[in-house]
Amino acid sequence: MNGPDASWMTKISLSCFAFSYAIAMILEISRLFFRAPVRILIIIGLTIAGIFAHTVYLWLKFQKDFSGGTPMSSWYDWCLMVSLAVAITYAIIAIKKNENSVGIFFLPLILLLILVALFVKNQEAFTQSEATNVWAVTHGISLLLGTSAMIVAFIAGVMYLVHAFRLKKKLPPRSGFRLPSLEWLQQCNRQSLFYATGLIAAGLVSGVIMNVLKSTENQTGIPWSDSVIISSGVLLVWLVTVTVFEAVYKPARQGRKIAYLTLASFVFLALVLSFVFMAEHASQADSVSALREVLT
Amino acid sequence: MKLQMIGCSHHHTDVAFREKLAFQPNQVVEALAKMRTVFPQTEAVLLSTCNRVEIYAAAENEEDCPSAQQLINFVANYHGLDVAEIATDLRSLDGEDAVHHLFTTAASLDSMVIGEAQILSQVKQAYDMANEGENTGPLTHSSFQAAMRVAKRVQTETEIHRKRVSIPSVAVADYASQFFERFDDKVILVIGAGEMGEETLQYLIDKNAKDVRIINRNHQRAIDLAQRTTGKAVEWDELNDLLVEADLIVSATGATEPIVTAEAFQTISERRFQKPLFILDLAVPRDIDPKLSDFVGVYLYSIDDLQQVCDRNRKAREREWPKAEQIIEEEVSRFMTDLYRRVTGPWIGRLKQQANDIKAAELERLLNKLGDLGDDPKIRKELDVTLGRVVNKLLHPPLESLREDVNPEEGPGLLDALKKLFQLKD
Repeated sequence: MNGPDASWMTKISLSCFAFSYAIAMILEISRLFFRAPVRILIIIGLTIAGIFAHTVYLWLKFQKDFSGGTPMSSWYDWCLMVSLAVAITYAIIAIKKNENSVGIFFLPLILLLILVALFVKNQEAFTQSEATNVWAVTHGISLLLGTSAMIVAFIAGVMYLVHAFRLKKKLPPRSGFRLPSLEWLQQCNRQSLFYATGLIAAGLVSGVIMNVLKSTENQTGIPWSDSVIISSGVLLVWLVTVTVFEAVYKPARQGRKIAYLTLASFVFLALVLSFVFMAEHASQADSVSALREVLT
Repeated sequence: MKLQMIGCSHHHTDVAFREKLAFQPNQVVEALAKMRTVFPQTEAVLLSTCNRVEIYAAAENEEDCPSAQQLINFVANYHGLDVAEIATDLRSLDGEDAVHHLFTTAASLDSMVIGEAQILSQVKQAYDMANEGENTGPLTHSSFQAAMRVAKRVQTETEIHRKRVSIPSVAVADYASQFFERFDDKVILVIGAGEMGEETLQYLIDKNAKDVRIINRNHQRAIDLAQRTTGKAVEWDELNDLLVEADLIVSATGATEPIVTAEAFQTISERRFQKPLFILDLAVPRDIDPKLSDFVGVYLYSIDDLQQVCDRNRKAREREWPKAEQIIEEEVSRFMTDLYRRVTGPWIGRLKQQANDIKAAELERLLNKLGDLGDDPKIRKELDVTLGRVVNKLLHPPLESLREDVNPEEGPGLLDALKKLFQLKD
């Protein structure tokens, strides 16, 4: 990475990939108005270029922070990682279903996450505790992946509802606005919700264990009254209830109900995350030391 | 060179007339073999579909190509018909008009359903059969290969083929595909064994539908349809159970009252647990109570809903028409230019040869007169070059004019004049 050939990579900034995604989004929107056969190739090309720049940017930041003692440990980094995960998911779907207008739903959320990252850039990061390293990493990564899966589930749910509405109202198909089939959206929605529930549950449980260990070490009690812990607990109960409800009650497995449940779950998750941001739930050094321990 | 076409299509003749002239695949083979005997120097392709019967004949020498009347006589004889009975309804085209017609037909601009994809494969099949029967030659090769290339250009450069216009094709490709990702694991119920249901079912089978149940009040007709397709005939009294199981229903019966009412569907809906159900009601009057669309998870489309899309697509195709026509005009012009060059090429060669022969003879005569001077290689070479330049300069303007005169439709053209002026012989 330090050789002369890679020096141009150090010039990659957040605006590079944000710009790629933004242009891709504008092109996606233009599908509604006119037909251009090469456009999808440009959209996919721009998204892949964005993902490349996004990955390089995070990797270089990781290297820089790691040598400075704080790799990938701020909300800024985590928002960018979630947006990268969602962007990769989008690229895969866009390549597989290049006739469908999925970008209209994915790209705004990816850009929103980048915007949120900029918004929380100056927030303090996580604190350190030697005993909680592994659990902190598990906690963080599970929540990161769970959030990404929940965002994908949310997008699939929104697409399902839009598509179901159009079909129910018998609106004629538009060549510039073609969504994946209801069946595919329902499967994507269900599977993403299922993975999100599992990952978020793992994240919350590992968070509880991390706090138990921390409280034993510091001789302090677990902060059960913390708004983040309470809301996270409620979110977990909600997600488990949704999953059980979906498994037991047959109609919940079909059509719009699962999409509505996903939307509600996402709103719940967004609330928990806003509590997290507001309460500065974790501090930087926690995950720094945890990551360092895992990586060394 | 001559290209001649005679035939009829849905534009000017009714189905009864076309049926009389139609050639079954085995008859095409037989008729082509017969043509080889009757017109031995003629290339021929026979295109016979439900909407058209056309014979394309071509020959390098015009006198070898049968006239339109001879072709009409041939068709009448083959089918045992009176020539007078068919002659007035058969259309004949030759030269550029025949090429234009062939390109238009292959590109599906002459079809009953503009833009339908089937005609191109039918043209290809007709050409392949003529190839197998050794009825083809340079003219039919170049014209039919060009026709297929033109059809593909029209397909890729315009949207004329993308918009479906028949109810069953729109129902499956534009609607059913919006509900289902795959059809091989879906229960498909076809109510009625009529033409519309069968055509829709065919599109679904093309999409890999496997579990198809066919139900009809007359069970024997359901069995017949099941045998023609890959479906399974089911007794009428099992209708309610099938409504519970089905993912997709195609209903096209001749019933005068709805077969499935909202009241009856209430109990069925409870048993379905809100599983999505896509219903295509293609019957007039409708088979399915419109109130069914109020049920959760039920998406009901009637023939009117689909007709709107068909009409819109038809208009979209009409908008694409000028673009497609322009492609055909361009390609016909290019084809005719190439063809004319192929015709003039040998004559140009012959004229040059004749001029070179004269030049060589005159050079020889001059060198003989020059005596010792003519033995000098430098002088020989200089004279040869000078005479060659004179010949080339004299021939250049008429040959250039001949090359530019690419429109054989404008009378006999310069080629004939050239033949006469320079007394060129075959």
